[in-house]
Amino acid sequence: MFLYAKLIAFVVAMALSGALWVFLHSTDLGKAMRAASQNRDVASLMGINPNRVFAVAFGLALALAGAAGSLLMPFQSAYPFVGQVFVLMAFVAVVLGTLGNVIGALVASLMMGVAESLGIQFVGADSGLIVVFAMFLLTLVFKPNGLGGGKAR
Amino acid sequence: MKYLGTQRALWLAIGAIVLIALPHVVTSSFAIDIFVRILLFSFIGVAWNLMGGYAKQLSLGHAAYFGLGAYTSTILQINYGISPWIGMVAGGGVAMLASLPIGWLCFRLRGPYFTIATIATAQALMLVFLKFRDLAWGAEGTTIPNLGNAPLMMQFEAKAGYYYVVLGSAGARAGDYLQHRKIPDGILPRRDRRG
Repeated sequence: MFLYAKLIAFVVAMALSGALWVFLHSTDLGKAMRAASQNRDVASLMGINPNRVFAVAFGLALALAGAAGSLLMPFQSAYPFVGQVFVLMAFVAVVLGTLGNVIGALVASLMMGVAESLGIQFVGADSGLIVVFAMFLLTLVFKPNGLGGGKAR
Repeated sequence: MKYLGTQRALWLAIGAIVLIALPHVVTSSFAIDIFVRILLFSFIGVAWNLMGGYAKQLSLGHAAYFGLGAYTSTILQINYGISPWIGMVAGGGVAMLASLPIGWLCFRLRGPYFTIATIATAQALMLVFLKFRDLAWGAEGTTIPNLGNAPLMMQFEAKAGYYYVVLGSAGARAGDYLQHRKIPDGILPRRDRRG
């Protein structure tokens, strides 16, 4: 059965990721955010208030998490622990795609999704996540700073 | 113990006597259960502190090694009839062996990359134990048979028995700490040492 809810979730998630990328790269506030995360002291010398920027980043991050939750609800049941597995997966995706790299996180999520499906298909119905974690650890052996980072610093 | 002053040694001795006498003074099994837990958590805390405190590595994968030790002694007792007194040491050995490849992998990483890698290994190990039911009873787990009063199999009628087992382990660890109170040389991973 084709679920339009999944298509909508995919399209909205992609649109939000794109909007986030544009926000981080072409608005003053987004640039200030990246500057403050790279070097807090120098950023504050340039007239950026790191506390304010971090507060905005925190709010924005939680808004995006809330959006993700509401997008998932049409095809997931709602229960108190519903966020746990997604939070871990989100953390893995962000680290795999290098911290602070939106495109890297997108590529990493795609890799994780494919790895999970392949695991379910070829290893066993309940082993999708084992394959995801194995793929994650093997990737970090070769790219210690994630997909978007160069060699180990 | 040569680092200890007389006053400190006195306080230590008083503390040790209080801890040893405690289950005879407070005899409610509920209270002793809580003491056992306190000591167990302090023991786990010491184990984590070695990693997160001294070596400054934020590892969130310690649950994996706790579980490996628990499974080792349980499997040894149920499948081979070996006493947990031996399983206790064997569990530590198995956890140490498992940490060699995991540590090789994780210590190449820094900061959040290290942390998430330790979580990933712990999660992967948990999933392996969930999936391969022949290995260790799958999701429902198991309980070791109740043998009544069998000190050789680490089962005691009185709760105080368990108290002394944990007190002994935690006390041994505390003594070890007092002997080398300095941070051991070379505990920092090579990538984090200065110079």
